[in-house]
Amino acid sequence: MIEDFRGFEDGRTYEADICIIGGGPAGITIARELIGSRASVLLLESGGREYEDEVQALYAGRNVGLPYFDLDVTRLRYFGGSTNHWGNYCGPLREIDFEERSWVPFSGWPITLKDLDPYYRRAQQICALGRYSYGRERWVELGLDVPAFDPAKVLPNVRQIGPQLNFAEAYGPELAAAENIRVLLHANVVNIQSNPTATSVAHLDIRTLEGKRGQVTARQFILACGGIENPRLLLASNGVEQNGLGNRQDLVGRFFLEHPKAWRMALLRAKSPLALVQAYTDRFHDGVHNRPRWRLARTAQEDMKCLNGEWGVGTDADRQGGTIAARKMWQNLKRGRWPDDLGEKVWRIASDLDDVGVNAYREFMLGEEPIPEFQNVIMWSTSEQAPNPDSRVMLGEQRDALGIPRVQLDWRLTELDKYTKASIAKIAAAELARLGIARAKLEDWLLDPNGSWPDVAGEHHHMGTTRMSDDPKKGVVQGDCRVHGVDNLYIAGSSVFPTGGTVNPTLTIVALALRLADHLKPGYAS
Amino acid sequence: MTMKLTRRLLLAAGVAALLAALKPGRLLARHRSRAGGAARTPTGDRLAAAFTDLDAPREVGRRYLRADPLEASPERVQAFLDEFSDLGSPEALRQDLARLRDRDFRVQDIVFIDGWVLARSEARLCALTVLL
Ligand SMILES: Cc1cc2nc3c(=O)[nH]c(=O)nc-3n(C[C@H](O)[C@H](O)[C@H](O)COP(=O)(O)OP(=O)(O)OC[C@H]3O[C@@H](n4cnc5c(N)ncnc54)[C@H](O)[C@@H]3O)c2cc1C
Repeated sequence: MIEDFRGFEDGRTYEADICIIGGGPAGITIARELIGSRASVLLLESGGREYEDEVQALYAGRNVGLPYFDLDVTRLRYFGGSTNHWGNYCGPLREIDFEERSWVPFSGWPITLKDLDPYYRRAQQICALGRYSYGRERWVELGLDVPAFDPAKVLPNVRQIGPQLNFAEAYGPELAAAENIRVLLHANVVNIQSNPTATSVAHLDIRTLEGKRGQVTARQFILACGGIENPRLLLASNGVEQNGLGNRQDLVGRFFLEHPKAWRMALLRAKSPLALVQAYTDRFHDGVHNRPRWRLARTAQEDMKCLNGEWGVGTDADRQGGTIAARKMWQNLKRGRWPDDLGEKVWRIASDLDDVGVNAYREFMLGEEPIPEFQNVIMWSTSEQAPNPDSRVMLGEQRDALGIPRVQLDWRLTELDKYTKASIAKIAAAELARLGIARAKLEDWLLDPNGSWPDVAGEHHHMGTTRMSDDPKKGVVQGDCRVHGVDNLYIAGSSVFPTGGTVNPTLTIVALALRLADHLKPGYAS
Repeated sequence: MTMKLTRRLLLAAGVAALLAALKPGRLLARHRSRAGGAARTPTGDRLAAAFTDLDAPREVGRRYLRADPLEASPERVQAFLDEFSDLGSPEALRQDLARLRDRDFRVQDIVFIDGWVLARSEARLCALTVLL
């Protein structure tokens, strides 16, 4: 059932076997997995079914490091979490991403790709994606020409882009119908209260924005509030341990990772720029869009001693142009939604009718992906970020409406991150030229070791802040996602990733959530 | 005033490099004995005549030599010329250049001229248009 905490009397205590904090894809997946088990499950969600300004404002914070998205923009605080506006771009981490690499300080997961593989396959379905296939064979399936890049350097890669999948809309009804699941909306967890030795969670304190209070007791607790809020809540739960719960080693909030994205690494020159773009543009196949790209092979990473990286071919098309506006409008209408900024979109379409017409023909008559008009073909790249203890989430001075210290994010990149971008660019440029596909002119910042990072941004992927390690001195959670030293507290979500690879995180979040549910289920078998 | 390399210049450099591989084989062969000469030689004149547009490869060559002046040394030039199996045969030259380019790109022996990524052999070929 799904209920609203605001409708209950003040001061009540709620009991469950398993209490999940946070109703995003991580929390919803675990709850769903426990449907029909003997566990009584209580899922606490801060928001309601719709966006509310006052709830979202609880996410506001301060960026004190590299320029980053506003912290109340880069995530959503209501049922479904950030899947209320995510893109459903998905892919699995690769084998090397789990390994300890001598040239990547703090690398290595306590689990391997093999451990996660069966869960990835299930996650694939949950995220409404196509066949579990992301490499060369996918390129062949898509009918793409696979260039003869040196496989020791560059490998074909794909991102599957599923339909707009809001986890609350898609899976909320199952939770509502389940007898052993209870979802409590507008229930903000404001404190995780441990026993006096901080070895076990005793209860949670919950509040509504209107001031209603309650407590929750459970046998097991799962923190699933996202990669920024998970550490915030642990740090703020400092009644017993003054540095926060699970933070004896001062690791909570540290190692914040993103996927540094450079939209423009190089200008590409080819005989036919349009043909080059068309060759590697999205393909609709198997019920999903597929975006071709390449990734660095293991040997290239080993030889160059760089992080993992991906690159692809794009254009400098005007993102405010008519074709993009028309596509967004069409997608909204197909989902039965009235587009935002309707007037502005109509204006953009009207003032760019030529391009909209050409692309409508391409999409509807030829069945091809639209390619908005562009001046230049470019190489973009997204890469793994080097784990860095100084890149971190902290508590700020100010407090939110519930009295919790607001969050501060100090996002930092290192020389290894920059070196990786330069390595990707050089390898890609050399291979493109070798095969006669294109010539590349690298951006100045890639060739200047002392230069700044002009065009690098995050991707709304918040990882690493409660990292996983079997060594309690090196990680906040152990391999099964339980917090070191706290016997009934688990963490779900990308905050447990010790390294982030290059792929969007949610498929891995869902896979890990399934694995955690499998770990918990035997305790509640009939 | 430093000239920015334009696409036209770069493509022209590519064309010139190919021409160098196709046409002036014998000229290069004759040059073997006096590689590194500073003044424009008869070889240089004839090499120049083989290019439709010598400005672009020269500009690339000049920039390359400015970044790495040692590349103008007779030893280096000789070593580069030695990489060609038969400087007298245009076909062999073309194949050799393709092989050298492939090798350079494979081992990342690349140079950056105004950000453009060239195989070292391509840059050396352009440098020859300045040196010869
Ligand atoms: C614009 C955008 C586009 C994205 N696109 C992609 C993409 O294409 N592919 C991809 O893989 N990822 C994408 N992401 C990231 C993706 O949305 C997240 O990785 C994913 O939603 C994280 O899931 P989660 O369940 O761990 O956390 P969240 O989705 O953040 O959910 C956390 C939940 O916890 C609740 N909560 C927070 N604090 C409390 C509290 N104190 N008490 C109770 N409840 C609380 C929140 O309301 C929320 O419902 C995108 C993100 C954004 C912002």
